Amino acid sequence: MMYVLLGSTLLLFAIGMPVAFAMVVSAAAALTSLGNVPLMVLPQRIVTGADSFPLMAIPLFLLAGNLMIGGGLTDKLSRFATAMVGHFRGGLAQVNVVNSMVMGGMTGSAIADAVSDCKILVPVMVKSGYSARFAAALSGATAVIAPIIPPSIPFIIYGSIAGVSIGQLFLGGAIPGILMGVYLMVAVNVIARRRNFPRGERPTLRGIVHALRVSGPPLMLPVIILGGILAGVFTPTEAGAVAVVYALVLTMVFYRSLGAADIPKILLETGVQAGVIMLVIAAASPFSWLLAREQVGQAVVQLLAHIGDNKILFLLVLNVVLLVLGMFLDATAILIIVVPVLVPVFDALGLDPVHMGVMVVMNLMIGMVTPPFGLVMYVVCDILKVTITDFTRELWPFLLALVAILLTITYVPELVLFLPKLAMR
Amino acid sequence: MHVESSSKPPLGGKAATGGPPLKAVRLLWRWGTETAVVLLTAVMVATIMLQVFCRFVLGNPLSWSEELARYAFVWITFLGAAVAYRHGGHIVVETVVVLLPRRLQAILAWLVDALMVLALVVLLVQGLNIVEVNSNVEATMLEIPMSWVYASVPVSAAIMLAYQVERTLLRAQGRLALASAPGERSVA
Repeated sequence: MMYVLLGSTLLLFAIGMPVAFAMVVSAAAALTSLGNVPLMVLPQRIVTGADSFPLMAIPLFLLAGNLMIGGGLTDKLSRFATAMVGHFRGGLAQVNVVNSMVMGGMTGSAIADAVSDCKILVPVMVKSGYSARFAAALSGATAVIAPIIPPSIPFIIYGSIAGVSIGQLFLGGAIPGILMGVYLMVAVNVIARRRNFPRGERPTLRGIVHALRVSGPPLMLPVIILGGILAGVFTPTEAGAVAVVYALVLTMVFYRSLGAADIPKILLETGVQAGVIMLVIAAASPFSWLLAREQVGQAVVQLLAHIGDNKILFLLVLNVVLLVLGMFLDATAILIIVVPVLVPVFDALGLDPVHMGVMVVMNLMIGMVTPPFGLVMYVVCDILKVTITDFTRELWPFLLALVAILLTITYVPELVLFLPKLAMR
Repeated sequence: MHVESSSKPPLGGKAATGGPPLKAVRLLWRWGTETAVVLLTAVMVATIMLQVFCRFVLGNPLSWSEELARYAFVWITFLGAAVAYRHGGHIVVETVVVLLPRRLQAILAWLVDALMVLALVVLLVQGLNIVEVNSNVEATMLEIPMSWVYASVPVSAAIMLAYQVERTLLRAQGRLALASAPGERSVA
C-alpha cells in the first residue's frame, strides 16, 4: 500500500499533474486498495487539513506583505538600507543585502522579496554601472533571507506539519537570518574589492536622520511581530492580524498610498495565493494520514538504526539530500512529503525540532535560487532578462556563503535556539 | 510567493468557445467566485482583528470568532484554489516533463487532463457525500451545520471541473501552451 501511495504520487508529479491533485488521486487509490476505509475520508481529511488556526497566519502575513508592497513601503525601506550601508565599497550591492533583511521582517516569502529587489534596487544598480547578471544573482541570493527572518510562510507550513511551535520557529529563524545577511555582505565585500566596485556617498547625519524618519514606521513592524511573540503576548496568527492592521494604517491613513478601491484587488490576490499554498497542504492531509497509519516514519527510523546514529554524519547527509531535492522540486511539495517522515527520525536521534525546522527550511530556500529548477532564479532571470547561465556564473560566491551559513547553524544549534530558549523562560 | 494576477487574460487568449449567452455565464461564474474570495478574505481578517482587539484591549475574548475565521479560511482555500486553477496557477513539478520530446509532452498533457477530471469527480462526489453526512452535525460555537463548511469541497470541485472543460476545449483547439513557463508556478 505504502509503495502504491508513494510510487503513484511521484509518478503523477513527474508527468506534470498539479501537486495537490496528484496527492488526491494517489490517496484515493491507496484508500481504495485498503478496502475497509470509505472514500469519504478523503474530503473529510482535506477539510480538516485546511481547518487550522495556526495556518491562518499564512494569508495574514501574505496580506500584510501585499499591502506593504502595493502601498510602496518597500521604497522607503530601501532608503534605510542605503543610509546604513550605501557608502561601503560596492555600496548598492550591500544595500541589496540589507534591504532583503529588512524586507524579510515584513514578508515571509522569497519570491516577494526577489521581485521587490528586482524592481526597486536593480534598476539603480544597473544605472550605476553594475552588470545586470551580477545584480540578478545577488537579488536571488539575498531573497533567500526573507523566509528565514520572521515572519515566514515556510516556517508556518513546517510547524503545522511537524507539530512544532510556529512562534518558536519564528524566533529560531531571527539570528540565522541576520547571519545569512552578514555572510552575504562578506561575499559582496570580497567581490567588490576584486572588481573595484564604486562606493556611494557617505551620508550626512541629517541624511541618516531623514532616512530613519522616512523608513521608521514600516521598520517598526518586525519589532512588533518579534517582540510580541518573544514576550508571549500573541500567537503567530494574531501577530499576522496585527501586521495587517499596521500595514493598513500605514498605507491607507499615514501615507495615503492606498485607497479603498485598491483593497479588493489585494484581497483577491492574497486569497488566491493562500488558496494555492493551502490546497497543497490540505491535499497532503489524507496523504500524511495514510503515511502515519502505515508507520512509514518508524520504518525509516529502523532503516537508519542499521546505519548507525552518528548525528554529525546524519546531518551532513540530510543537508546534501535536501539541497539536491530543493534544486529539483518545489519547496512546499518537499515539506509536506519529507517532513512527516523526518520528524520521528529527529525524535529518535534526539535532535531539537526547532533547530531541525530552521535547518530544513534554509536548505529548501537555498534550493530556490539554484539551477536547474530554482523558482526564485526563474523569477529573477525573467524580470531582468538575464540568462540562467549568466545568473549561475555570478551566483556561486553567494551560494558558497549560503552553504557556509547553513553548515554553521547545522553544527552550532545554539545560534538557532538562543532566542526560543529566551522566550521559554 | 508568486501567483499570476487574476487580471491577466485567462489561458493566454480570448474566451474559449460559445456564443454570447455562454460567455455571460462564464463571466458571471468567474465574477461570483472572485467576489466570494474577496469577501471571505475580508471576513476572515476582520474577525481575527476583532478577536485580537477583544482579547487584548477589552480583555474579554470572543467565543465564536476563531471558528468563524477558520471556516472562512476553509472556503478561501478551496475557492482561491479554484480561481487559481483557471489560469493554471497551481504548483506543478515540470522537472521531468520539460526534458521529454514535444509529442510525448502533448500526450502527457491529455493524460493529466483526464486524471484531473478523475480527481475532481472524486472530490465532487465524495464531497457531496460528506456534506450529506454532516448535515445534522453542528459546529461547536457557531451552531451552524458542519455541512456548510464541507460544502466548500464539492463547490470548488464543480467550479474547477467547469474550468477543466474550458481548458480541454482550448487544448483540443491547440490554443493551450504545453508545459507552463517555470516562472508561472507559485510557491511559498
